[in-house]
Amino acid sequence: KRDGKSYSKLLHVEVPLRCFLKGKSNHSFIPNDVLLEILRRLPLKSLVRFKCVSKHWCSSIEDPTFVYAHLARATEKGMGIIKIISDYGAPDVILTDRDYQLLELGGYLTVGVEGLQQKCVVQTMRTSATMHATMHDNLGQLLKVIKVDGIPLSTIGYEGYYVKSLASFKHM
Amino acid sequence: MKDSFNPSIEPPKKTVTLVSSDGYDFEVEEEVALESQVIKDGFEDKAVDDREYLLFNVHSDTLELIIKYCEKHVSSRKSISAAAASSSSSNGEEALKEWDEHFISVDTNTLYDILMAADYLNIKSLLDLAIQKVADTIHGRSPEQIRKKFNIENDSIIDPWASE
Repeated sequence: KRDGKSYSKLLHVEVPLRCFLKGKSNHSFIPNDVLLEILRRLPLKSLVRFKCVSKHWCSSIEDPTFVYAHLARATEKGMGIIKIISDYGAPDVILTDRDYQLLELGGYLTVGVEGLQQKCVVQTMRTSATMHATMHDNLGQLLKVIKVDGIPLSTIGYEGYYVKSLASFKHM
Repeated sequence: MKDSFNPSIEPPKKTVTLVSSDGYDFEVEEEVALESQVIKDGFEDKAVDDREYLLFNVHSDTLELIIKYCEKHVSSRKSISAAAASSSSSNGEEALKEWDEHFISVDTNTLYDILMAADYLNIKSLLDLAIQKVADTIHGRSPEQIRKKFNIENDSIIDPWASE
């Protein structure tokens, strides 16, 4: 079976090497940079769900640096647009790529658009996950996301899951 | 899929020796070993007659796969650039992509071993391939399945997702 391989002569010399001979690796450890790179390639929908895997996963996913990295990748892939569709006939709005870069999971969606109604839908174009949002206050400044893909966030323990943008919208 | 370059015009191959964690020697061509950024970085500092690398974290089973991957990529690059030079049309890139896809379609344990080895050896294209595969594999899973897969203790303060 070991064709072309010979047992290394080095092992007879370098005794300390034995401490590495624990056989194949177990799956209990993933370096953090590798984990982040895996998470960065997941759709938003999965990320929302994976926040409850562990504290570490949750804080990794919510970390602003990671959020930017995740969104930057989506933008790079030409999928980095969030579409906001209102329920009551107010104009749909689309975040530009530049705006989208400023979005943050775990915060608020700050909007500056006039005429946006009380309820609207925040749709991430790349995942087709649909987040229903309500206006958080009367000033039209904050959107609170209350549903993802039709599932109310409160029923799955994610109430208070917000999307945040510091930027203003552009009308479609 | 045989590679098209002619071995008779190649200069004699220089080789380096890679030693797996379980103590097996692998003699590989220099350019194949240099696919690893870690080996490349250490390469210039080593004497020509001492080009042996102890890969403490890579089991021989995994190392065999890694070498297979690197050899394929080195030879594909050559045939792709040869095809480009003679301006003949080539689907080399496509074929390599397909080969990659097939290569990385392995069981979870092997995928994990490849991922760790690619990270340790810093072979960027392979690391990318493995990471994408892991992402593709886990994106539809439940948090509980993820914990099981990665041996993560459930210390979450968020109520678990109601499992369907």
